Amino acid sequence: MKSAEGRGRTLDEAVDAALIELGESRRNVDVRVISEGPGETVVEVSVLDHTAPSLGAAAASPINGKADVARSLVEGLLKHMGVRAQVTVRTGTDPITLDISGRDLGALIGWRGETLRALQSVTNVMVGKHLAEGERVIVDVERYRQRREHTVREIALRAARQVKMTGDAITLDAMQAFERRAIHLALQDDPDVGSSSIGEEPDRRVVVGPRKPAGS
Amino acid sequence: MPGRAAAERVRKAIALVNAVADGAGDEDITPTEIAEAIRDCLELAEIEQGSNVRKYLGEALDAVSDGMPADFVAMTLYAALGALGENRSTA
Repeated sequence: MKSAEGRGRTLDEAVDAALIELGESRRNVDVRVISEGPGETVVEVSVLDHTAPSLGAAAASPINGKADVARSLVEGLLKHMGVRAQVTVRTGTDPITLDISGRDLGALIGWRGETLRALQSVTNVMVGKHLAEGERVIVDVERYRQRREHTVREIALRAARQVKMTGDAITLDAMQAFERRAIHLALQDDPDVGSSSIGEEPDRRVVVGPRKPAGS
Repeated sequence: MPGRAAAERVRKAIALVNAVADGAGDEDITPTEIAEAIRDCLELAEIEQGSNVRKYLGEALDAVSDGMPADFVAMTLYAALGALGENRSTA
């Protein structure tokens, strides 16, 4: 295994020094701190052997391969943007979902999640050639999207309860496509209440109303 | 606010494209509708000839015509929105 020793005033500097010597990037190496003092930090940086057989079968699965490609591309993109954040692959999700976390990432979410949505579009364009037809990558920042989906589902269920009590349809606020989708999915199995959408983008709204009996 | 009408129209086009990409499952949007929304943006006099906004909108229109993926069209439209330089408060 190729390795190098790095020295610097800080841990970052020491790792960078070793990476320059190795000609590698951080995601391909393992770092071991040899000594850490107020004036100097010494590390040993070893290049990971990606060809070595892994005990974790999942690590070699095509899904994880794609997710890792997506993760490293987003990491690179954020680095170019000057954003310090951690990118992880959310486990057990289909489609592939990348979670971006860090401090002060509000700007990465943007007005009503606009910047986040743009980031997702760019990610899918970058990762596109690694994905199958129709396959997509979802990008989330500080679980914003997940929280929004949860919130709109709660709104949908509350509206459904009200519809059952009054029998009147309720028109919800304008929502983005992924939010409308979350509502349709939340109510799809309700035998009494259904959902549909009205209006034009970007003011398209979900209407929650009594489900019409079949054949009427 | 200068550029606001243009920003609204670009956002409308983006919303249409995102609806296709996200598959809300509640509407059927055709490429013609997306192309019309982009042409609506290009018709605005406030989008100057030779500006980057016009360039990106033109590229987005070409992408729709060429059947490029929705995310590519969206990315180009976001570039147009960014070039408009409209400032909005962040989340």
